[in-house]
Amino acid sequence: MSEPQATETAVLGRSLVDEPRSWLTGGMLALSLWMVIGILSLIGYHGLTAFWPRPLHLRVLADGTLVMGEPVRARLRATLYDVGGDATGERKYLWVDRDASLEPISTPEAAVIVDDPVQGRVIGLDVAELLKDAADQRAVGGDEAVRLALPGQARLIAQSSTLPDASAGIEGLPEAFSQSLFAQGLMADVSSTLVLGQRSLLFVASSSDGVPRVFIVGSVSALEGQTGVVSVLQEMPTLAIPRRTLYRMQAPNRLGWPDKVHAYAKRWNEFLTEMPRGRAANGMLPAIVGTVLMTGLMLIVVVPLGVLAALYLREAPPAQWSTSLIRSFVQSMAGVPSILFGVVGLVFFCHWVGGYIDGGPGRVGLVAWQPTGWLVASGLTCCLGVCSLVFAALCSCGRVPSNRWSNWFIKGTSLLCLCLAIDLIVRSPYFHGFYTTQPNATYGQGGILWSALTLALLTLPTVIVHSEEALSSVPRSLSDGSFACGAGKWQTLHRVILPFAAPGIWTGIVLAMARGVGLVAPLMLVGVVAATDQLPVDTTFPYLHGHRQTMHLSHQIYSLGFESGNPKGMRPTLAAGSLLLVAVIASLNLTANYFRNSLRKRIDDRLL
Amino acid sequence: MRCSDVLATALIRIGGRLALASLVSVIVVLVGRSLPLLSQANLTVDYHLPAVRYQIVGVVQESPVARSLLTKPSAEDPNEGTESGWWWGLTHDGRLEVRDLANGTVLDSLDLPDPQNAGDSDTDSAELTATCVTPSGRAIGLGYSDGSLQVLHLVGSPHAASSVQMQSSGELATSGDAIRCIDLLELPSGESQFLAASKERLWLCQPRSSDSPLELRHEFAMRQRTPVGPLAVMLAASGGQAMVAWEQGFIDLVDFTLSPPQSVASQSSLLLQSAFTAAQPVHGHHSLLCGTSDGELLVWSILSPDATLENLATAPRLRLRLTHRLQLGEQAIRALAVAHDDRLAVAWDAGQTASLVQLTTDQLLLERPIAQVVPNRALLSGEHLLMLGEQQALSGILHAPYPQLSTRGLFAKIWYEGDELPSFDWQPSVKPQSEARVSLVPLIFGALKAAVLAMLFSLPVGGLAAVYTSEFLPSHMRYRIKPTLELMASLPSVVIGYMAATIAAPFLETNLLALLLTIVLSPLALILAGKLWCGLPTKWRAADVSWKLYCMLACFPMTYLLAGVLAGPLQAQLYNGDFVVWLGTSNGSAVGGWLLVCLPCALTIAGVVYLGRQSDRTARSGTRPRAAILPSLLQSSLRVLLILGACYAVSSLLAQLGLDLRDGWLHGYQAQNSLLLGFALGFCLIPVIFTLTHDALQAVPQGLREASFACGATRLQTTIRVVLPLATSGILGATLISFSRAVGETMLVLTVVGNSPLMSWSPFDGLQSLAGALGSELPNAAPGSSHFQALLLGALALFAFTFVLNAIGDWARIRFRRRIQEI
Repeated sequence: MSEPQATETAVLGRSLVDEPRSWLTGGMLALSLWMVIGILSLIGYHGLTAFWPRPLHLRVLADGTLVMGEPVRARLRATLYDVGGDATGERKYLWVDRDASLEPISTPEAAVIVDDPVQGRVIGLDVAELLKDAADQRAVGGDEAVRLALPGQARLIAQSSTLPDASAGIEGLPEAFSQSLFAQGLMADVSSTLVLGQRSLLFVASSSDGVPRVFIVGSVSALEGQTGVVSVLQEMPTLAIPRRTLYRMQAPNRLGWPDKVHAYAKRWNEFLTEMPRGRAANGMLPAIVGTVLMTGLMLIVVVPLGVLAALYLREAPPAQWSTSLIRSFVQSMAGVPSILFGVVGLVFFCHWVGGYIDGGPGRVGLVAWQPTGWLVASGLTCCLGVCSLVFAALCSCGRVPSNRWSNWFIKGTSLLCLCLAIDLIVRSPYFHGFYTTQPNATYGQGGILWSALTLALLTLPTVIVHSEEALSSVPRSLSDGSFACGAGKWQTLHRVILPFAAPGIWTGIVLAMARGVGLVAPLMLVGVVAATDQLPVDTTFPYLHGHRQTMHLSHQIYSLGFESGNPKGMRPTLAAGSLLLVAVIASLNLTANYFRNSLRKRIDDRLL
Repeated sequence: MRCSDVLATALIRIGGRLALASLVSVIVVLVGRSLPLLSQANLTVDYHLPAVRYQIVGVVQESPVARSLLTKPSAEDPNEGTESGWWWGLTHDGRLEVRDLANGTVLDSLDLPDPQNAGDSDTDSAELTATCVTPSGRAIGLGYSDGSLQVLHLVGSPHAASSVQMQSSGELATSGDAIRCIDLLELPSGESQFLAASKERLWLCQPRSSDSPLELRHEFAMRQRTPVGPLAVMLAASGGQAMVAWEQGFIDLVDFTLSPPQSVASQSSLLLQSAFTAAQPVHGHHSLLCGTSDGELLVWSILSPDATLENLATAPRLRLRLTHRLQLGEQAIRALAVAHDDRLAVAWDAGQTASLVQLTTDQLLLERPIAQVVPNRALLSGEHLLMLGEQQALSGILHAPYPQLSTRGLFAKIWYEGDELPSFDWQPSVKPQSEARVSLVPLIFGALKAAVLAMLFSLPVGGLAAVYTSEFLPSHMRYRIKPTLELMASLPSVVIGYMAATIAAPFLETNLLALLLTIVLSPLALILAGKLWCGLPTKWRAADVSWKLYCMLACFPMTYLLAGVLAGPLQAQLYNGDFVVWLGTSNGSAVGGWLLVCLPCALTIAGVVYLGRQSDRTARSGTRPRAAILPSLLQSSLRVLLILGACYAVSSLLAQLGLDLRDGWLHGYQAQNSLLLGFALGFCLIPVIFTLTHDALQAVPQGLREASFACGATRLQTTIRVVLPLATSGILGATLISFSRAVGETMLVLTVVGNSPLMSWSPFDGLQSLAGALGSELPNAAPGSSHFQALLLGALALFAFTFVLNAIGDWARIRFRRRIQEI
């Protein structure tokens, strides 16, 4: 046996034992990668295709029922159609078996999808379009009845001679229509047309099976900018929707590629920049504004506090047990479930602080001082404070020996003063709340200010941990060098330490932002709501209204998807919202990663 | 020292301390808000009216007194804080005195309207013999010695401009016997029903309009157990049943919904020598509280017929159950007062001791002697306790904060009204008249169940993935893979929950068995692929590591396809055609159920043994090395078949013994189930475990690995023998931290499994966790209510649990780092 072959045998033998096991471990990595790829592509796919105009299908089922709708979900055998709202505005969905229809799926050009603030979503045929076609045909076919081919046994017939007849306008089209419908007994007549002048109502009945069925109704007056949109489902009422109140009207089957792209961009634009309207909640502007504002407010609080705490920890003697205890405490607080911070926010900020601001000490169960007692106590506190200050000044001048006892004395008195002062301020007999006259709680309920403070409390450990890590990576030699050159503490901090540690601090801040954007649970408790008509910022003084409840992007996903009655109808919005959220958070994380790498590089460079 | 430096130092100190203090305040707030639970119940005597004789009193509270520290005054009420309640007492000479609740001063006094139908006969001789008052205090039922009944309503308020008026809501004259006891029930529909008992008959009637007589619905002749007549009657909340208590210790249940009405159940107290001395309907009119001559309190509840109980051959009947027993003292109970808005009761025994009792949890909250008055009647409404003696009346303020939130109420099995057996249950926000169920056990159980399921999934996946990334992959791939998985960690849980609920849940429901099979098959497929990989030419194998990873990636879809193919016949064979349907019924064989348990267990044990077995044996020498692959493949497949066979044998044996998992463990399939939650939660935990484990492994010094390689150990041997033992404490820390994450996750629980606080071990059932309950219920709970306090206590428990877990995990990691540094 030659030498290399023996080696190979040995290697193979070994790998026969090792390889499958390493594959078992590697397979778990592959599974994790599948999960990341899977969820990101799912979110991406659903988010990106959410607003793409999909063709509307018209299906004629075996029993003659007509179903027209937007295919929402497809399975092997059946397709789920969004068929728009019914009379009550409630959305309906229908599973249609693939082999349930006799005829191939048709996509009529006149099909429109309308989102109306009152009616919700309506899917139907645009009669204006049908009429136009009819008029075209009339031009060709002369005075004959115009026939418009529609799938199934249905025929749309417009009697050409009556079309231009302008009888006096009839208000309230649907009622007028149904009245005349029954009055004339048109249900039985296949080819009856009801034309009411300019506001034409086209009516078609299908009677091949002897049972008349109304399925198209509408009114048109192109001049007045009105359009009637008709629901194809026979049990649906007829609708005439004035065009000016329309939120969105789209005829996806007529759109070419450029138009589709345009419509797609328009939907995204609406999503990002408009207020939600009625049932067709598409605009996410308040949620986006709320998220941005809340994160901003949170940063204003958390960044200084976090960085200062990190600096404080850095200055603390490292070997002392108390320092490591504090570190462990902060680290453990970082892992406490976010909902608990929400509970604390609700109990402390909303109920206690908010209640105090609203109605003074009495509202939150505190007993205010008696006025005279309060004055006396304030005076005493002031005296104590002055004494403590004077003593401290004497100590620092050297008039009084500065030893352990004098230090304890100064610390004790100042602490006592602080506690007394806080008590005196909080239980002041002269404060009765700013909003006692308001019927409802103003600050005593959730609001954007409390949400931001809760978030700040929540992200504080993250910021402290990351900043401290960054600060501890600053070599002592750097600050020592700075001090040796005669720089003061502030200068060293400002010019040497903070710039060096900046990427690490930024990592913490960016991660805190990512956490603040993606969290829902604590915010549900402290003032984030599903819908509000007020933005927390406006043009009236004081511009930023901290007590207002606000909307939040990630909470919208929960409330629209799980608390609103119509999760299926909210699917595009939800998918787009998820995509937006994930995109923001992913980019924040990538930024954090970039900062982390740059810090690592800086340390490596310094060490080299 | 420069000014800026002084400022900077001060700023750092103040800011740092403020930040740390704010974190500490989280604990302070959580603990501080839970402290009121510790406060003891107490009773302060408010005022004493020495010279009044009332037959009956009622309390009308115009603004309901919340049992809270944080009293939220209603905005319309300008004089906040002052209670606008009043009470009335009915004197023996037929006058109603309206008194102030706070100090007992007489506000108003009015005469009782005469019974009209009894007016022409001898009115004076008709003595008031039975009285009752509804919880609102505004409806009074009166029974007279001549057998006539009267219902009165009070309208108006002494505080308002229109003073109190009394209106008669109906009268009825029954057969001449004196009325012994009556009960008046206000139904939620706004109607009321009236039950009266003479010594041998029951009358159920309904007040109609103001002047017409009471409408007699039913009359029932009881089996008379004592010559005197019944001690108390109670009309059940449904309005169709009545409970009658007799002095010798008998309870009868009369059902008026049957025609003719008949007595459907009767029970006697366990110790026949003890007689009933007092009885009162418990708030909610579902149970009757009886005091015995031995100083014992007994609560009898109506047990609703349970249709699922098979053993009842006849039509399901109502039954009576003795749900609570509480021994107070030796002396006989003299009077009972039952709270009108809670399950509190005060009992006086012959020794003039008042005992405050919580009836749901059977707990004695307070015991103190009351000397001023020996009550024979008492009323507990809100915080006010009114006691009536022979000659005097006494009012007390009873302060019993959150009586149900005791250790027993929160953590013990409790027999709730209308239940077959004692149970743990969480149903706090139900109608006020039904019993609140505030056991935290289902929530804790749910949180732990979800966390354990998630850990079962994520710990092997995340941990092994970290091992592979750290030990087997070259550094350039490591730097690409780690941020990718960390990106997964940052995905908001609400998005993952949304995806799981809308996309994964329907998918799981239709492909459940295929997915379960994939979990079982994929390790086998990976091992197979690993063996086959050895058969590839060395040149290919050495080419690029990423190819190997791609092959591993490809394993999973292929396994899933295979599982999809296998699932069909397997379902037909083992699960009666459809797995989900099989779960919900009891058809089909039980073997499949046991396989569900045996197979994962056996494979997990086999996997651990396989991974941990010393990989010392090296080459099987031979001229053609690749020939060794085939025998090894055969050997492994034989082993696998052996394991499968053994599992099947065990399962069949268990099934033969007549055991079926579906009897007690699996209860069908809920679309929103814990398994899905486990997957989703595991999905969130994988990156956490991965990152922490990876960091721990990377912290092991490279030199140790190199030394091991130099001694001729393979990568796997090095990993198992050198790296992993060193990193154990780090990995332990990672496990603890991720477990605490799993316990505290809120949004996934809310989105994936909704709100179903069940105590079920089945992974196909829903659950509710502590965090989920906090998220969904706390915004709607009234501050200061028991529900709110129970949730806060849950929050404190959750905090303590996760904080301690985190602290231990952190400590393990610090210890690990120190140890590594020492090396």
